[in-house]
Amino acid sequence: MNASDFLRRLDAQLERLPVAERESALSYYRDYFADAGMENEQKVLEELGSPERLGEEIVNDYYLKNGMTPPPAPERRGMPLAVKIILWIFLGPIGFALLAALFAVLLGLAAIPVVLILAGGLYCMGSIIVMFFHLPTGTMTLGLGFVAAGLGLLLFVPVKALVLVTCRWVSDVFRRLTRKGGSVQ
Amino acid sequence: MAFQLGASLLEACVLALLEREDTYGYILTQNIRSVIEISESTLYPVLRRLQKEECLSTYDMPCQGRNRRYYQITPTGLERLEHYRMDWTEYKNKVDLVLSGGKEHECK
Repeated sequence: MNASDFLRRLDAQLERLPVAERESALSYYRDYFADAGMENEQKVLEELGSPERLGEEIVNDYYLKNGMTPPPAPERRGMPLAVKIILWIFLGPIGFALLAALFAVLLGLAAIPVVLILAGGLYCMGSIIVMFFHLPTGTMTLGLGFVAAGLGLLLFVPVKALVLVTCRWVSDVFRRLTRKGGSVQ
Repeated sequence: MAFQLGASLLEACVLALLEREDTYGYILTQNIRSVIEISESTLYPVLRRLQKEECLSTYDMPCQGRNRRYYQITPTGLERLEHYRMDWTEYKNKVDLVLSGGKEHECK
């Protein structure tokens, strides 16, 4: 989460307040982040905790101090829980199947450099034997072995990067989905 | 640290800091945090309350393309601060009496 996410979520919580109060609170925390500076943004975010909880505190503070009861908190995303459950039941298996397919593809991709390196190695080793029988073919085999291994080594770095990026992306999406699908904290 | 600043003590600290000079939310919070552990969010309700009770006023200063809100203590605020100072001295003395002077009253 970053500062603008925080402020956006806080704003949603503060809808129940009169406009002046809401603006005052938002500008306070907007200024606060600005004054803290980019370098302190994460630290401040950690300290401030959940914008929903902070919003609740601010709303309660306002209403209870004036002897009134605060209106209820807005539901996240405005979707009723029942709809969310049904969506999860239907999309869950599909999502899971997609995930499995994605990992199968990743595994296949990852196999390419590994196989190339292994094959290259085997070719190089085997080429020594072939050279006994027919030197030109043997040297060609050796050369092929080097080409394969070299290709595998070249591909290793980008494929590994691709796999890591995909894994991180998946966990990111998953985390965001589970957060939105959950109830108000 | 076993003890926490209650709401009134926090108000007193804020007023005392503003008595020395006008300042803005972030600095105010950092100054208090340098002495007592409070959360970054603690001060907002305190400041809002003090503003409602006219113990402080605000003004904006342009700074780096935006407006920075400064808090300033009012005469009402100064009065309140004096009350808090007296209350605190009384409170402090009473607690000291109990914490340190109590040995003479121990039951055998």
